[in-house]
Amino acid sequence: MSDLLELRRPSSPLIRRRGRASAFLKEFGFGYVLLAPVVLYIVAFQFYPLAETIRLSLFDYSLISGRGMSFNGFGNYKELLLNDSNFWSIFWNSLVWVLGSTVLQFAIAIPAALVLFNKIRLRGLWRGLMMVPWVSPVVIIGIVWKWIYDGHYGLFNHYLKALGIISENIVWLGDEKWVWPALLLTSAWKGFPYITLMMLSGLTGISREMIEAAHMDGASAWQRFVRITLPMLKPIMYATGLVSIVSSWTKFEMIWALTNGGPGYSTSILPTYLYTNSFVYFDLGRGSAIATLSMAIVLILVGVYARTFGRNLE
Amino acid sequence: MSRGKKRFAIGTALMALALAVSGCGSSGESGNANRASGGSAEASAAATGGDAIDWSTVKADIRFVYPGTSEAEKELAEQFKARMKEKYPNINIEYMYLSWTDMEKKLSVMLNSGDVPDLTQTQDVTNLVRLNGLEDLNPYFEREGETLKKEDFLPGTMEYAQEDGKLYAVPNLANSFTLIVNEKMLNEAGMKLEELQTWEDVERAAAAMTKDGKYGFGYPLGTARFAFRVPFTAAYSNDLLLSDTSEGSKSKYLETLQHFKNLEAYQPKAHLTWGYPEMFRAYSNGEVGMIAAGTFFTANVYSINPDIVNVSRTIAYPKGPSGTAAKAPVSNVGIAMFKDGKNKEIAWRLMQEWSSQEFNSTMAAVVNVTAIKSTSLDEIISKAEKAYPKAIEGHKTLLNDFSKLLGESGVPMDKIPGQSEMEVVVQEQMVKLLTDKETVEEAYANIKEGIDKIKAKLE
Amino acid sequence: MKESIVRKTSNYLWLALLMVFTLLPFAWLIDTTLKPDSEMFSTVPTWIVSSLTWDNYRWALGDTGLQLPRLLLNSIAACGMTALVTGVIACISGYGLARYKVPGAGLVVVLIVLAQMIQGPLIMIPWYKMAAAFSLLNTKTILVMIYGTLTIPVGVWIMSGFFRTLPNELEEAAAIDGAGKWRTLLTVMIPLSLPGLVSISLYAFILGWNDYQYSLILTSSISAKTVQVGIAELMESMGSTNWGGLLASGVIVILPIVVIFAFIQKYLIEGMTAGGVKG
Repeated sequence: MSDLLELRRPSSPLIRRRGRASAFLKEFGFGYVLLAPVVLYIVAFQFYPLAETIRLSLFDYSLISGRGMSFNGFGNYKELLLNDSNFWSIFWNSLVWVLGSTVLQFAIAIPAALVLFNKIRLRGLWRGLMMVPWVSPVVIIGIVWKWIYDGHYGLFNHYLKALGIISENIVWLGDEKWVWPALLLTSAWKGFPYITLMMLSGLTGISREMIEAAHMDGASAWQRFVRITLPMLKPIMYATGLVSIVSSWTKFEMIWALTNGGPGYSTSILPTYLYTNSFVYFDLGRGSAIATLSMAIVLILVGVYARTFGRNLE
Repeated sequence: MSRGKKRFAIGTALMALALAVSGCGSSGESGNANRASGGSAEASAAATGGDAIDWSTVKADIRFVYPGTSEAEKELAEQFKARMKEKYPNINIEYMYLSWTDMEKKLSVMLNSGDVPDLTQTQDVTNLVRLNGLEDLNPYFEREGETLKKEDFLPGTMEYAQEDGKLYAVPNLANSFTLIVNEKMLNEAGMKLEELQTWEDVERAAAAMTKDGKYGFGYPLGTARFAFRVPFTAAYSNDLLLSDTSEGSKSKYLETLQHFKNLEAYQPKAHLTWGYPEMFRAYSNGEVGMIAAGTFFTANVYSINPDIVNVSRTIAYPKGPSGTAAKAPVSNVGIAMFKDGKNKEIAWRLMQEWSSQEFNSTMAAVVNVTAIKSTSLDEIISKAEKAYPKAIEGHKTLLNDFSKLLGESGVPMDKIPGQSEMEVVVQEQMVKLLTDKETVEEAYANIKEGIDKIKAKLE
Repeated sequence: MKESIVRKTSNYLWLALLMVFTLLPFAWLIDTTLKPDSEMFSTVPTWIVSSLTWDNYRWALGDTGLQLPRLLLNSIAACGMTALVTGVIACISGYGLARYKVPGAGLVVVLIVLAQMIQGPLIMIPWYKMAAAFSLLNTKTILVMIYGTLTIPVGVWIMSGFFRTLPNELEEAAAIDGAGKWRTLLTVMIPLSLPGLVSISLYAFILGWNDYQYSLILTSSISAKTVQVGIAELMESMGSTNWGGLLASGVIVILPIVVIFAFIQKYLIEGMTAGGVKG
């Protein structure tokens, strides 16, 4: 009892500080405990490896040159940005790939979500089937798409010819003009179900009454879509777009399966280039430098995206 | 970093002591060098007391990297595993099945982080040696009382597994790149196999075979590896190594590029995106008359269409305009062990088993040409009858073709440092050349620039 | 009335179009696996299977194949564990992020957003070294750990959005009832956020399921490698000789997931709603 009383007496600076600390802990301690798992995880397993990658990018570090590892400053970067004729075309390819994939995925996903949101028979089944591309392993489905696009046996040519749209086979993946549309179509096919799913969630959140009310006002389907549905979907579109950009930036398996990034580097994007340099040419220093640049670019991309589309959300 | 360097220095010193050789040619990762020295010491120590191991009880898990390209080869590996299980009940072999391309990728990462398997199949050892991964086998061969001797192997096959006087793999099979011809198609087009003597003849034959939706020639350009390999094979018959960009070889290089430009009209357009699987398929369906392939041919086409084997013949790629004779580059498929492996004595034992006459003939029956002198052709053929029952006649003809051409035209295949990077350069320019985006001269200039840059980097 | 019939018809037309686009490659895959090798590669593609064969499926499930059941179990174990871990961390930290405005919380948000971009080949080399240093190569554990790079930041982000949609009064009421902070989280908040939790876990499962690169580099033995890698290895190494069997393996891998999805898509969609919109 007397101890307790003592504690309440005006205290020395030390005790006061301790008191402040414990008050701080009392107020925020639980919050920190809650945040700890994610912070520890991303620092140890993402930021540390990233730092290590950045460190390696400053070294001349090729496993097969026989030179060992030596500090090289910004040598790898200089080489890439100034002397590598492939780098800039690969950079542009990456932008085409990311923006093209994302836009095309949305272009398919929004109508798909509207269709699957309607009251239709066996809706669950269709929604489940719609997920097929998303859960199909790229290694298998890449082969099928390659087959579809084949210039000799391909299904695509076969049907286009049957419909009279083309008269002669096109080597879709070997044609400068067609290779990107073909790749993007496949990428959109693989990625659109996720976005559809998010759009469906978004639609579920829009109140029926608002749409009904607009219906009463005699708004046409298109007007209802543009005036009500689309604005309501905006926040979720924004968030989904972000995820889509980041994931198409880092996912390159589809390109790898279809063209291997070639011929030459003509369909390479930064992640495939980084992959080839590190794991095929064994130049880890250069690979790490590409990784670092790639990281910087996606940061800028996301920043621009957030500024452009994130603002009018508030 | 500094710690790594120090370990590296100690490692090199130890190694010099243990092997009494000067320095180690190419050490990628410092940690490896250290452990490697221990390994070599163990090897020389074992030279005296290697037989002390009691093989009936020895226990180990052996990881075996096995890049094969056909199902037949996979079965072969499983057979070996079962047989070893009988002989050494406590040795457990676990295979890592990979493609040849994935294998280097994976091994680079494994070696770089000290997670080392025990055995691997090999073709070109250059990169693995540069990654400082493979054990020098000379000390093992030199030991007293070993069953396997260097003299057991066909001349030429050993060289391919050597680097700086060290031997890094036991060559089991000879592997050669050649031209495979659908003889029936050729005859129907009014030509005979014997007429294929020069590049001009190849072009003529390709032209003659191209009609009614069929094509004379198939050059898979979709994968850099093969986009490189085909001209690489042809270039041997023009006395040119495809990585040679020196002024003196320029005209030969231009001729080689021109040859493929000439062949372009006789190929299915889709060859731009094809790899070997598609090419084998087109060939097996009788849609393409000639492809550059090699000793692994039967294993790859048999399951698609066994009949195609019966109409196929093979020759060394005919002579180019500046070539002295048709040549077939010979490499080997071998088995190697790792410097830092934990069970090197067992690995060596398994390598000998792998190279035993009995198993070698089984292997050669599936993938064609043995590199071991004592393995008898009769045994191979009788085993091949089991592996390829529906095409045994054709397969025998091919075996004869191969052994004839290896004798007449076989030359050791060169190993090219940085080849995988050069492959992409050649692929890129070949595509541009064959789709009329650039002339032969321009393609050459670009290839030269690209290859020279890679060479400079690796110097 | 008339309008609604027109609308219905057009709905089903659009649905048909969507399904053709979505399922055509998959249908071609299935069709092909029912053909014998000799028919598979005819120059003129045809859907007609003139001599139906189950050989490819027999190969895929048999001993000579790629030990598919074993690989499937590996995948399910690794992805299931990833889903669980992601769910737990997303719940705890997502809740913290939504409710406790601790000093530095802004920084945490920034880190989480950044972390979503740190994945793939960008960090592969250091990861392999870490895995080797802790002797975790070739284990399912390492897969769960690295799949977290794909799923944890996004999971926390979405869950925090989900928690924000729940009214503050819930906790206040629980506090009045005398519940401690942990108890409030466990007995009040988590049950309410179950739809979000389920969808995050499913999402994590699929991301793991789709992975190929990580598993290729980090695992090699049959005890750990996933079905994607198992198929890819054989595809690359003997694709030219047994396409049928490999493609059949692919079908076996895809089908169960699709069936499961058809049943649970409702929860997935509901769960993503609240979290997604505010996220």
